[in-house]
Amino acid sequence: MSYIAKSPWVVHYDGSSCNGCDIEVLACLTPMYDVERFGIINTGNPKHADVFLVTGSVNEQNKDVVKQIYDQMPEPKVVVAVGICACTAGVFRECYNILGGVDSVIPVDVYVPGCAARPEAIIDGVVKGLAVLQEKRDNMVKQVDEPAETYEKEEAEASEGEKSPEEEAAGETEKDQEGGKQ
Amino acid sequence: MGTFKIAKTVLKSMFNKPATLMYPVVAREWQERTRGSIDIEVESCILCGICSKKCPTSAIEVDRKGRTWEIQRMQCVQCGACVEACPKDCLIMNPQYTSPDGEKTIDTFDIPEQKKPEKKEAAPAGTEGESKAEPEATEEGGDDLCCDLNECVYCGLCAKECPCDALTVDRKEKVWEVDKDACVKCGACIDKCPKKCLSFGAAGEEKDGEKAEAGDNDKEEKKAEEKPARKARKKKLPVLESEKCIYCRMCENVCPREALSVEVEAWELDEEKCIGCGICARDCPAEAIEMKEAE
Amino acid sequence: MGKKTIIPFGPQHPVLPEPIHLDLVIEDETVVEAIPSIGFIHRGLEKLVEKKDYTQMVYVIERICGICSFGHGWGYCASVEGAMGVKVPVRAEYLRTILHELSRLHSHLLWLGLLADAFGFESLFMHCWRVRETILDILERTTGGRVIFSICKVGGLRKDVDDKTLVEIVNILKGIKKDIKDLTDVFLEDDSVKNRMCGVGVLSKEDAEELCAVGPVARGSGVIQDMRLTDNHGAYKYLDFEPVIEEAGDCYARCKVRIREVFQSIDLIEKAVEKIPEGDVSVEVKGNVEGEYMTRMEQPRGEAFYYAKGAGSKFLQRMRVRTPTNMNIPALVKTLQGCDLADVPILVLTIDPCISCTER
Repeated sequence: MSYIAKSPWVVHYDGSSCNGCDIEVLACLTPMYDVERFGIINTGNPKHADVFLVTGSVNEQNKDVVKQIYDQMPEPKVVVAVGICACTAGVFRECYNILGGVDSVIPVDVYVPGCAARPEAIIDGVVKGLAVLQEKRDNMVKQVDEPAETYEKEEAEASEGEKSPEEEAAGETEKDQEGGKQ
Repeated sequence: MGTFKIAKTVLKSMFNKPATLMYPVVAREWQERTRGSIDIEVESCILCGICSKKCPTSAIEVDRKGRTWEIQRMQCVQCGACVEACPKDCLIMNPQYTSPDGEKTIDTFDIPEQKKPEKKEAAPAGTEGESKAEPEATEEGGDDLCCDLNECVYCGLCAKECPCDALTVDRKEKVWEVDKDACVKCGACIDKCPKKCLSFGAAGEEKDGEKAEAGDNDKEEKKAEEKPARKARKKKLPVLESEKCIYCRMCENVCPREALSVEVEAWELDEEKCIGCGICARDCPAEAIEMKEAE
Repeated sequence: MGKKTIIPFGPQHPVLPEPIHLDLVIEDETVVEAIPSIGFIHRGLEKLVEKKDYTQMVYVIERICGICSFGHGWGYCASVEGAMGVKVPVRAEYLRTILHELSRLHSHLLWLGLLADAFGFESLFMHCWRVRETILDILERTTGGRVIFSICKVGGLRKDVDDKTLVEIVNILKGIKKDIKDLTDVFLEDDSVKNRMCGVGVLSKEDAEELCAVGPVARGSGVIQDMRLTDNHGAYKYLDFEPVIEEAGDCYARCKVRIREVFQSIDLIEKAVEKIPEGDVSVEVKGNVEGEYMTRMEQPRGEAFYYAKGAGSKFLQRMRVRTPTNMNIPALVKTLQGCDLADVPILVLTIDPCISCTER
């Protein structure tokens, strides 16, 4: 496990939740459950955070706020939807002001069920989210390293033998396409 | 008054055991009543669908033809309404919560066919039977579904509500029939009937396919006024007080015969389709409809 | 005369777990005006009465707020029972009272922890919430849930609590009384805490009455108001107690009111367990709702109204809930005028805002 999954920082936002899941999220920080032993800190600044904990569903007034916080977070990031309201809007699905769960505005990586979600379930959800975070980080690192490898390969081939200009050009475009793939 | 008053608590917590439960290394022991998730005993399920109706979030789906019972785990709020409502007590509240997942978990259970039980002794009148009614079980009596035909207006709401499609109602022919094989005695039709003429009462001899005879009606004791005999009764039609009407269209939604058509400033009744059941007047939030005898 | 600046406070900020937006007009670190803007939690759940029948609606109403959840469930059930003319058994009244006082205990301890966090005393926050976990264990043992209880129904309670468990609950509460006393002494007597709270955010008695403040905010300013004594609900009429009143009207007085209410709740629970009679905990309720009824409850945050109206079908026609924070926001705006910018989180917390109750 690399350094990123060892001590993730969390930003928490409540969008139209009843506060039940929010106090359970805060209860995770208290001595009984104590997620600070895993290095998790609840920060208020989205630019410091790796994991976005959202509780509550999305309504007309807060859909922009959720999107803004998500956009401000730096990559790689993980979104964990805590509670039934965040997953699928729960009992409030037929309300006139509710658009749906959080996944109607931003992509969600882990769904944590429960009304209100227990602190043990939230810890399980964050641990699953860390595995996703690790995967995203590995993919990012791979994309950064690939152009460097391609350059070294080209240097080696150029020094080996003489290729025709057309073959060289064809080889380069193929490798460019591979390197530019996301 | 003092500084560092928290010293006492700090010293105590230095020498006491830490309060932390070492989850996830140490598994949590659940209390007896903890509400975690719903489990089903598939052998007892009769696919009546009452759990699906009582669920406040519509998380349960019952497919009678495909014989499956499905629950969307990310929509269930673990309230326990289904557990209390199940007539066969086949739903259990499990203290262990559903695990978090990357996808919205949906659990589907296949319900096996129920074996027909052997003949049992007669159950007391009015209670829901423990087993399916047998076609030739007229001697058992006591708790078959029956209808008081003097009160019935053949609106067909019972047939629409029945989760097993066990009722047939024909307004023109004045026919009301129950298929005893299909009926699971869930009682949903009894709750729905606007004239309160259905019950699990003493039925007398009945066979499949024949018209049901009038039986004892427990609910009659609750009705305060006496209704006149059916033949002498004239049909009542809904009449609108247009100043009170707010055009919410609730009457149009609840009409079992689709006899009402409502637009803003235009409330229309199709008198031929109307059966005079009175549900529109009962459910109107503005109390703008009154049932009056047709002239 | 300094320059006026407008600072937006919220909806996402580390102090408060709930989204509230305040535009603070400040002049050189002193707040001149505060303009609140709410609506982030509005779900429109009162309109769901048209779609869910009166037995299913309990599950919606108790999710108005997770902290005052039991009070909402009880208030709704009491108003529907009043409209239908149903009388619940006496044992159910006692049990509802005991659970409501436990709910008040957990709410006040939660608030004390958040207040400590707001003025930077993080270890006190941790200790308050550690003690609160004992109360949550009791609630889980009796009702099945830590936060949302789902135990009230129209007609009584869904489950009974036997007498052996009730006696154990009283013993547990006696055991933690000493811990709570040690922690509340810090709030009331420590110099650094008193410096932050004494004389800050003063609300005079005349202002409290004029702005219709409710709950501990009003009682901290000397207004004698407690719905447990005036409205005839629960078993409060059988238990003898006085409302907790303080005269000063500043943050310290409001904090003291809540601390004294914590100890009063423990006493009330002990008295109720001594007096509770035997019997059923529910009556069967059938039929439709006809008529209207209103109840008032004393929630941890103040006075709440519940109005139910039915018109003869299983769907209620109207359900209106008026929650306490709704009435305390004008009092908040008044106390914010003239305070320092750094005191704003403390003043906002001192009315114990529950925005999800306000907006439903």
